[in-house]
Amino acid sequence: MKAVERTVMILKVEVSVDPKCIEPKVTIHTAEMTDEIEHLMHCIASAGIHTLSVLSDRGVEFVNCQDIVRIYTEQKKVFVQTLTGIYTVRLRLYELEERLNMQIFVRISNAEIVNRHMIKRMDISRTGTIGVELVGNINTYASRRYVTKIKKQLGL
Amino acid sequence: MHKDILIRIVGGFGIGVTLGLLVQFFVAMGIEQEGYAWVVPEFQAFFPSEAIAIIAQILLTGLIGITFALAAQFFEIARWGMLKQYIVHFAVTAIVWIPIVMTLWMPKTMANVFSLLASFLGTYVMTWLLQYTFSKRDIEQINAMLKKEGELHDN
Repeated sequence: MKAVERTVMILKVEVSVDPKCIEPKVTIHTAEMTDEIEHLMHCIASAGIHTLSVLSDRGVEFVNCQDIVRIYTEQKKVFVQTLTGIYTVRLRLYELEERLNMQIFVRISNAEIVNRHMIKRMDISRTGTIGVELVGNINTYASRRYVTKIKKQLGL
Repeated sequence: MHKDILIRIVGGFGIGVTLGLLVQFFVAMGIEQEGYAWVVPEFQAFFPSEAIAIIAQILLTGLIGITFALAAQFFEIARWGMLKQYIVHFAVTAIVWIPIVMTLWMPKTMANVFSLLASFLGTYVMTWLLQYTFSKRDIEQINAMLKKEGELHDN
């Protein structure tokens, strides 16, 4: 009987809105520590770091940070591009920089952050334009100032 | 963003005025007159009093500082590339600083004017060449690293 109860975990979810609460916190009330509870804890903890809520014409969606190719500003709006689509986010670039895992992401210009695993190669034209070729045939530009940061990110 | 621009304007003004006072210090050493020459006599002649001339000089040198502080933003426009960044930066700042410097300190010979322009232009060319060389080397290193990582993934 008890085993059945564990596999079908019925959860009551409650949200309390309190303006005084600066950092959101999740508490799980349970009679005992089970594998399910532990799994739940992991899911909640990693959801904040590994996913990003974005906006598309279908409404709010969640993208896996690993799937993000680049995040860029255009006409004061911030866009998140994955291999499957382009979304908008309400956060500013510097706020995303604080939130994202900067082991994976790297700033390449004032207006852009890219996923370092998505960089295929870089080049410099004769007039000094620094090009960045990303996965999915996406071409963009880096500022001279940030090239040193990219180097550091790659462990050079 | 607006705050950033404001900081640039204020900081640029301060640096411009400070450097202006420093230049004036060296120029004043070559002027023979009683007491310290806060402005050159030729510049002061435009104004009814020395105090007004000094204020004008402070405002003008501050303006040069603001121009340079704001023009630095051209280097953030990544898609322009370094050549365009440097040319636009040179053109925009030169329009402001050349007339001001000529009015404030009035180089007397053509040789002076020429050496002023040549040193300014020379600095740009040197910096551009260095930046380009460094960037090229950096990018070669980055590509080598990316290639190595790519091969590791394939295996």
